[in-house]
Amino acid sequence: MYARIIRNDIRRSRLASLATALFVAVSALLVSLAGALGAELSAALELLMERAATPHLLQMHSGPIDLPRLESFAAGRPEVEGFQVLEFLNVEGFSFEFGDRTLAGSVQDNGLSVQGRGFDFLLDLDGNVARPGEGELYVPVFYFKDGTARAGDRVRILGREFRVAGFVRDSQMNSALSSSKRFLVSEADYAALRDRGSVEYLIEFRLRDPGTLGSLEAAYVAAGLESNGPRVGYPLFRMMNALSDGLLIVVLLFVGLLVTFVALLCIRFALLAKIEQDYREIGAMKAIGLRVSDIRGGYLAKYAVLAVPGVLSGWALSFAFREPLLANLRLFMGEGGASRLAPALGLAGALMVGLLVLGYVRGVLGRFRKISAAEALRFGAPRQVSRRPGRLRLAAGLPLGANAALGFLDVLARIPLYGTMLAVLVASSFIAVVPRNLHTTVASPSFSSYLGIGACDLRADVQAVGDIPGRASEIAAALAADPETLKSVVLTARAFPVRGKDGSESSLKVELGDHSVFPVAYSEGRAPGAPDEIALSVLSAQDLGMRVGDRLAAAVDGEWRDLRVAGLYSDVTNGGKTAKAAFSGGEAPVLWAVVQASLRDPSRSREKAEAYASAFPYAKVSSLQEYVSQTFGPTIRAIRSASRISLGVALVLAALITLLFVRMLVARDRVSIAALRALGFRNSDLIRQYLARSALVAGIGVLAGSLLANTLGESLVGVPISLFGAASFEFAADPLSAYILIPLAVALAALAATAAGAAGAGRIDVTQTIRE
Amino acid sequence: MNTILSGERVVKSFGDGAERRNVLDGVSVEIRQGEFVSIMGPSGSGKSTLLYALSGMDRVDGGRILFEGRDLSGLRDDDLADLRRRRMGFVFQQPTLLGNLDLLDNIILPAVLFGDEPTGALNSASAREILDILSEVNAAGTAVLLVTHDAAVAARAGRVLFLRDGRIDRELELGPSGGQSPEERTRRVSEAMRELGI
Repeated sequence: MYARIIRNDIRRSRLASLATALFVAVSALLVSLAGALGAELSAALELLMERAATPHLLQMHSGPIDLPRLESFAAGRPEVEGFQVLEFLNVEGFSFEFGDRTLAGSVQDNGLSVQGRGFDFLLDLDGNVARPGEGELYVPVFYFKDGTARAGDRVRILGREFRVAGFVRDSQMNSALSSSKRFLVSEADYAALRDRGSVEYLIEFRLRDPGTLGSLEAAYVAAGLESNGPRVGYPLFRMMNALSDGLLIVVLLFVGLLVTFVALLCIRFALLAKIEQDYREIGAMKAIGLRVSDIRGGYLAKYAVLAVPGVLSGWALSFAFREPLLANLRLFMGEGGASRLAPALGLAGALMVGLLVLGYVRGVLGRFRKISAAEALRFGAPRQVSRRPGRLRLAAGLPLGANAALGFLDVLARIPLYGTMLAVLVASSFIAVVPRNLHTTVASPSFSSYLGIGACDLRADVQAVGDIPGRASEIAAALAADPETLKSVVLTARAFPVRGKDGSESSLKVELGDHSVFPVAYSEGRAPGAPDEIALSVLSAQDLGMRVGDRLAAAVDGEWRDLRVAGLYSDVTNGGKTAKAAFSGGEAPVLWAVVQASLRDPSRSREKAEAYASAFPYAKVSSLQEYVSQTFGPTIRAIRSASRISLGVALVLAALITLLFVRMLVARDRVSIAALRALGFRNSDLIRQYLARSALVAGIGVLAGSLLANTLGESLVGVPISLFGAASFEFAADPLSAYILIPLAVALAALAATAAGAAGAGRIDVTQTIRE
Repeated sequence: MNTILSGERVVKSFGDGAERRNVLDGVSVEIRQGEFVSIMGPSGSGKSTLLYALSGMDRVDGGRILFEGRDLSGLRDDDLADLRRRRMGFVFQQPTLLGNLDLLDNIILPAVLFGDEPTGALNSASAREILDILSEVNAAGTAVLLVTHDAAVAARAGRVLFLRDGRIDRELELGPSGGQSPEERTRRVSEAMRELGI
């Protein structure tokens, strides 16, 4: 009997049934993809870092090192399993010649390295430890992805010839977020070129128990060992590697869950309409003694019949989409060996969607308990009574016309009924606008403020050369004399011992200079202005236990000073642990210098960057746009793809749900429609009335959705970004697309679907309907 | 004959606050095994409400309903559903037959059969057919309790209860159907209706 009932019901409501199955399939597809990709990412990352034997702690250092002291430290630490010091030979970008191109325009610190002895291995694309012979070069996979190099290419580095033997995955520096890239050469080649570049040391530790990272790091800092460079731990390596693909997975899951939410709304509406239609029958079933669970089972069975193929087809489809989405992951991290786990997790995700749908249906059907059999038999479904009696006088002439007025009034009289459509349009706008806002934000020049960099046009980094301050002053003087320069500033970084709230000492890299010229975004407080003020990055503040207003003790030229914490800012580079101050630095060695400038014509920033780069070859000069594009390029592209997918999904959702809703509304309103037609309203009038209803609901829906996207959406997106050290995050939305174009597109999709759905009003038999 | 179904000082109210009123106002009724009883009364007298209360479909606000000696107020909804499924049947006025069951499946063969204006939406030929079936069911031992406003339908019963303002105003004993002609029985019911102003 159930089978017959289900078959008949599906036949009678084909569109609703198809829409339900489709939504379940799409939800299952997206959630399944997120689950499978998550499994692949996790497995690939673990395998890469295991095979590469990534160091648990890396301290980069420029300048002389005391190797015996370092070895002694490592030997004396019981948690240390392995210790080594590798060299990274910094080479200027223009010294890498790939045919007629160089890496002069690259914002990466490109350098040469030999293979690690005990750990920190650079792996070829087969996952093996790469062993270049003399004259052979292994290029970071980053440069394969952007098309710079191919296997077999001839490359000249510092005038020496190499052949590209392959590409390497670097578990430390794979990601574009890592500002350095290691080219692997043989020991002989390295020795030949060592004196032609500047050496930076990679002081690396492997631990017996990764959980002891914190204590090793604290001991290293307390010992006052070499620390003239970033210090990065294993968790940050993992996070940087996972970011681009991780964000894509988060977006897939986010959209999948939103589609599930919309599917549930759609199901709710169809189910409530069906219950209303079947009210007397439900009363009769209760009267003859069917239990609520029996009656509910019939309806639940129908949705199980729709959900199961939806879940399975969504899961099956995910296999087709998986490979293109995995391409980036496989290139940078290799195979994860999650070939069994990924489909299983994908299926688990899809099943979760199915169970959620069935659980929700079961919940909605709980209202059967409240249905009085007696009232259902006598009166049928309770009708919503309009609260305000009609005061509309059509003869009076109305602004916008009678059709629009009737349409608006209907919405106001039956607000709960239109609630579902409203919720769907809010959700659709949300789905469309949030990823778009995220894309415009990360692609905007102002995003640099989350990198701890002020919004300038040009940036020149000077490091790993002798007399950094002098070199930086040269560039600053040239910029100051340049009529195209609007303003410029020099910031120099030095390391100072500081004391945290718990009294422990550590070393803090502080950028000194006038921070008011190109301020970064401060999540709290402001830039330091007075000599006794300091601003901390969010992660530094967390490490030191400091908040705005607290006093931080810092030793400058051997004297301890109390510095007031003036502000906290975001910084996702350099491990996220930096500070800014305005006092003069004393005698501490300069670690690096940055010269920032803004131009009268910012559109010339790329051109000016190239000119200054060739005039000052010891500095890395780039336009900020170029810097952000290179650092965040893959991430930006991933988010752009996700935003386009989301927009498509949102428009389809809005159109499909509206079509479904309007068709159901027409069926429900057939008596009213017959009466209106009897009164003389034409089919086109009826369509205009439905369009007016949709216009009102869509107008409110897309407005609310856009507002929600810019508030709640901003908060939601800020959560994962805060993990990287961005304390507060705000969308840099493009007002035209976020507030006008996208909401308009969603509203137009809804209106087009309304016109299509309302066309059925003209097919109602007037006399038959009235007689009924 | 034993009493199979009874209502003792049954009260059922509808409405809230100042608008609350007793549709059944302490009505007491007994239905014996195999009996055929009709309930008549003006609109709003509580006929259908009494029917649904006696069948356990509506919970009462006062008094009690006993079916085969069991107090229905102490049963959970699922137990009442089980009871209705196993021991009661319904004939509805609206075409609410379940499309996948045939006619007999819909009314089955219980201890009591309830009908609320079962012929209200039918033409006279179909109405006669339904009533003949109900009479057959009753002859086979099932008690039948019908709400009707039609004297000819009520006349099929052995006893007619006239309700007014939630209470039984009068009982009319018609006796077994073989004793008098249908026309005579109908005339007696109509006369009672006139006297009561229905």
